[in-house]
Amino acid sequence: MELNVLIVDDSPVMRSFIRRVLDLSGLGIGHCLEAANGEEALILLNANWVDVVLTDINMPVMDGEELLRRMSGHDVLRSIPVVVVSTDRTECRIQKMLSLGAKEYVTKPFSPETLREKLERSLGVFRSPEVFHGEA
Amino acid sequence: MEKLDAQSALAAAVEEVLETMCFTLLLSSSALSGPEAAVPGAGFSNPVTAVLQFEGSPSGEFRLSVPLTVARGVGSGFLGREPGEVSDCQAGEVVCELANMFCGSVLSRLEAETIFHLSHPELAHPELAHPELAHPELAHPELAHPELAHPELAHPELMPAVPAPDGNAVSRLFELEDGFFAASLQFRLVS
Repeated sequence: MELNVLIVDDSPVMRSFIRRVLDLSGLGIGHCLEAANGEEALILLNANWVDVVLTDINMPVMDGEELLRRMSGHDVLRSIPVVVVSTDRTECRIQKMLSLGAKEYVTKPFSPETLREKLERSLGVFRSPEVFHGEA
Repeated sequence: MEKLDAQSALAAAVEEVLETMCFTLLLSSSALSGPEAAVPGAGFSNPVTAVLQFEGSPSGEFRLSVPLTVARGVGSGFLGREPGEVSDCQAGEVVCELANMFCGSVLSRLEAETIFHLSHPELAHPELAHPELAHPELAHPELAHPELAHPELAHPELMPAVPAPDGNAVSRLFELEDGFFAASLQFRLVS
């Protein structure tokens, strides 16, 4: 089963970097969608099946915090695991994002191994047989 | 805030980001002082400069200046492409992203418990705004800084503190295989 991923970051080069790391991760990436902010991400999420979302926090138009709030308040989108990728490594920020529904938190800079590990952990929660295959 | 702490934090943050995200080794780094520190990299040939503001405790400005050829080299590591395949626009975006990561990493090393709000990095050209600071010799920093040839200076934590221009800024020159770049952290005074 290939994973469909949504990368949300206002930096095109950061999206490219994450995409490259995913391609090299061996995780079996299917479609890799990209959005420059939370608003674009919600449009894509409402039109496409996505297995996991990787999002930055500090973005124009709609930031990562608001994206998490909107997803958490949505009947379907709330089940999609979200991994936050941010330069902010303060504990209170990490706890806030986790309390809003993020499954994992990766601080920039990060190694490809770290991103893969966090992704696997987030998907491990989601990809239990009842939940993951039951959605198909 | 101790200037030496900020210098060490800046050196460590830059080294970590370059190695982790750009797969690029930092050869050496040294603290800047005097006019060079006021607008680091002002005399670089064809510089790409990103500036961002940070709000928190402390607040201030972070500035990163990278010659275009060096930015292409770093960008090639970041994007997994040949340097010739990195466009000017992508080189600018990489410098902005690096400024964001450098600044975030430095601040978290200085104030681990403080939440900072970072503005979006903007590209700037300080040598145009401050022509008096565009010293030609800075286009070849290895000439202005012969001490970079000494291997013991590759360990910034061993270097003595260099007075910042106004006591609230730290600036460093970094050496990569492709050339040099400069970064500075300017703290805003609280009255």
